[in-house]
Amino acid sequence: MSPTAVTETGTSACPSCGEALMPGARFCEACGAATGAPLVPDPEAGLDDPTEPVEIALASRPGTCPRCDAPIDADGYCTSCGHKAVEPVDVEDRGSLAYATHRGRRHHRNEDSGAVATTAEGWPVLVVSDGVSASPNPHRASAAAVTAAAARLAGVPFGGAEAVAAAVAAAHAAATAIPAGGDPHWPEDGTHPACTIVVAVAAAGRVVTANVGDARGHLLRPDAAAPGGWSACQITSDDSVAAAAVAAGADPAEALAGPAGHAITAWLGADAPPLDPHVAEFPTEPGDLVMVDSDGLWNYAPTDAALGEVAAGFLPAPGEPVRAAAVCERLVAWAVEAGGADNICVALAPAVPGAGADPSEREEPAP
Amino acid sequence: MTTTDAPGGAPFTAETFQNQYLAAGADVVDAVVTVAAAGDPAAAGVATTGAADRAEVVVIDCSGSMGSSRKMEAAKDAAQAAVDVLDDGVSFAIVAGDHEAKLIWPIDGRSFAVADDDDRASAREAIARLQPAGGTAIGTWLDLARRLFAAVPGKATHAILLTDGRNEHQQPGELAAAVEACRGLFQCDCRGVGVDWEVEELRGIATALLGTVDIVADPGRLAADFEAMIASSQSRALPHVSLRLWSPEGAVLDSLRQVSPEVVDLTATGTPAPGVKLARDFLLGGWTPGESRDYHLRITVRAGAVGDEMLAGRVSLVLADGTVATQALVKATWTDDRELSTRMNRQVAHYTGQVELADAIQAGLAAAKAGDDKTATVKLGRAVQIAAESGHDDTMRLLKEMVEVDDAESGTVRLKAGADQAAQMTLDTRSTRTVRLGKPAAEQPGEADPPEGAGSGT
Repeated sequence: MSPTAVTETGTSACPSCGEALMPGARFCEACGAATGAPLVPDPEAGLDDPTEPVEIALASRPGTCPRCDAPIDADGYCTSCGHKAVEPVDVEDRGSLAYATHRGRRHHRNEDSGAVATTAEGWPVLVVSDGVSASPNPHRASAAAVTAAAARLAGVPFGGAEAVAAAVAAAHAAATAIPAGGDPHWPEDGTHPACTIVVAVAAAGRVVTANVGDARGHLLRPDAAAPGGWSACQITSDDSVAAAAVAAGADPAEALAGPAGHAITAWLGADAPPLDPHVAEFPTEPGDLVMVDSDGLWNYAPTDAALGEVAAGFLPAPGEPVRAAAVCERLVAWAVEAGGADNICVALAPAVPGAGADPSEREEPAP
Repeated sequence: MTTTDAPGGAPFTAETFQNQYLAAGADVVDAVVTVAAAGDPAAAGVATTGAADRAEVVVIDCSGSMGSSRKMEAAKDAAQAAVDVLDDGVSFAIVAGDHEAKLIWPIDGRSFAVADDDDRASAREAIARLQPAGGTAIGTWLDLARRLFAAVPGKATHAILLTDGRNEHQQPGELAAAVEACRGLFQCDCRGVGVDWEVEELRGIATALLGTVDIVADPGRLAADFEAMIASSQSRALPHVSLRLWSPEGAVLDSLRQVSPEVVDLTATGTPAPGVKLARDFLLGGWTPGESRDYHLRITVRAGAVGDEMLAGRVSLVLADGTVATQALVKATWTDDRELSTRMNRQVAHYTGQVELADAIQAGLAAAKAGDDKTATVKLGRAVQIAAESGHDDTMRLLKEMVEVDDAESGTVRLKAGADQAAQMTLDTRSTRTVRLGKPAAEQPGEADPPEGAGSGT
């Protein structure tokens, strides 16, 4: 149960005290200073035993307590101060489709929720919702939203764009029904529970999405030209100040870094603006993977190029079986290691070959 | 909760019952840990104690007062009955106690005889020759038992101590010192016959030496009681078990009590665990396969911040050979959700009540003895109330010998005039016996899912 390993990229001496550094160290053993070594996933790391759960050490150095530096016991508690120092990623493993989620390092509770289901055709349904921290009971809103959206699509013949829009409407109704009171972390001030949502259905030869807010859908595609053999492509549009600025011609990185870069302009819940989800459809190819994710992940890889490289670190070579649960878990673990400033939720499923494709070419992930 | 893996299951299992949620700033963690021994320890890969590994000492009060009310005859019968039920191969010795202690069997210079038909017959004859004379110096009896057991290191050691009187021929400090010297070396079940002995004195010995204490008001019942004590001792196949408690740096153990089958305060008995930082070991003595006991612990920790989770205690069972057999975790999670932090765990509430019940009985009887009827009425009324609430029928029956119950629910009682001395001592002696909480379907172990359960599935 080791934390996700990272490789270093050339740092060999502490920038603060000059002490030699362990390969990959992000903190100096001698003086404790941050080395500035970037986090790059090691393609070999963490995938040797996909059945082994990932545990996130909330520690500056693996195996030691972030508070008092004493060793961590087998149960994940500090052997000196007793504080919980290791927290596993929550994983829902449904074989070829899965989601994983974690509180991260900064938030005291996980307000993200995920859900996976299949349509009557057996097509994967992926849902991620991010509770808005500046609202009461956001964790309950996101949980109700993903449950309602998935329930709308699960087990029934897929109705295309209308169906994903209806799923988002059901999620909106569910989030709206969550009471505002009783959240000790939010005084009753007239605001209502709020959350974002992204729904994706991997139908034959296409992925159909609907989203409100800034949780995203991505298509991951085998790409020999990409650094890790996979490329990523965002297939949803954000309802955010940054997205609006980019649409108006701003540089994407600058727009996100701006003071209100992460402010969302649409959400679900009782005081949301009129519901107007982005509904989109994107053609898929056999071997593609469909991923939906909260900003707790994509904030650390905001561009398609960056996300493709990160995802490739946890994906097998194109054509090899993909274990969705293991990939989700490791992506979440990576985001925690990268800073974990927000809650993280990632759901993943293989694209379904289109009517014209040979079924034998379909990726059949290991159970 | 984790347990060690063994082919036949774990030799012990442990389960925590608690509300791990604390309000911001709160620093007291309460938990009940239920520990159960496997029904078949051999299948769990644990070495068990056989007859050849046991040593028993039977200590009989032979002071002059034993000559009245046929007590000496009954004590002799009881000691002979105990010898009769010893398994072949058990090492045993008989001690006669008055103002000093005498080894009356074996008498050939050995510390212990080994039970077989011949030795049992000879021991019976030695017991039959006992004559009541002299005073009572219980500390000297314990000293001799300790010296005898010291000659057979490594054996599972057990003694029965019978007296009919107070420790009159020794200073209280001498008895206390003798008890301390015996602590951990052998277990000792104590019995008082008649009504002229001191409940607190015998309870102190039995508690320190991990044994039971009881009154045998009717001498005629002694023999059956002795047989039962020997049988119970011989059933304890898992010797020298300790409870190990780790708690974090800066934490203070407010109390550690066995609360079932009876209340035994272990708090002050801990010793530093060899080689384990921040851990203390508490001797529990021998365990019978299949038995289970409950422990209530209260730890004051350094309060964490809201959202923090801390391991406030790790309870493990340590076998005679040092093997850690199981462990249960006691946790603390700080929340500002009052709905969570104000919940009282049912097991903790129940045993808090059972400890209060024992205290109320003892305080009530002490007040009655001192002539303070007002306090006695209040305390015994409270005891009646708790006994009724928790369904403690045995204690209720004994309480009703002392008081007329007008309303059990409110604890309204009247002291009975001229309550029987034996009944009073019986209630006092048995005040520490507890009942277990009935388990309705709603009862949940302490590790309830946090409310922020991330990622709701469909």
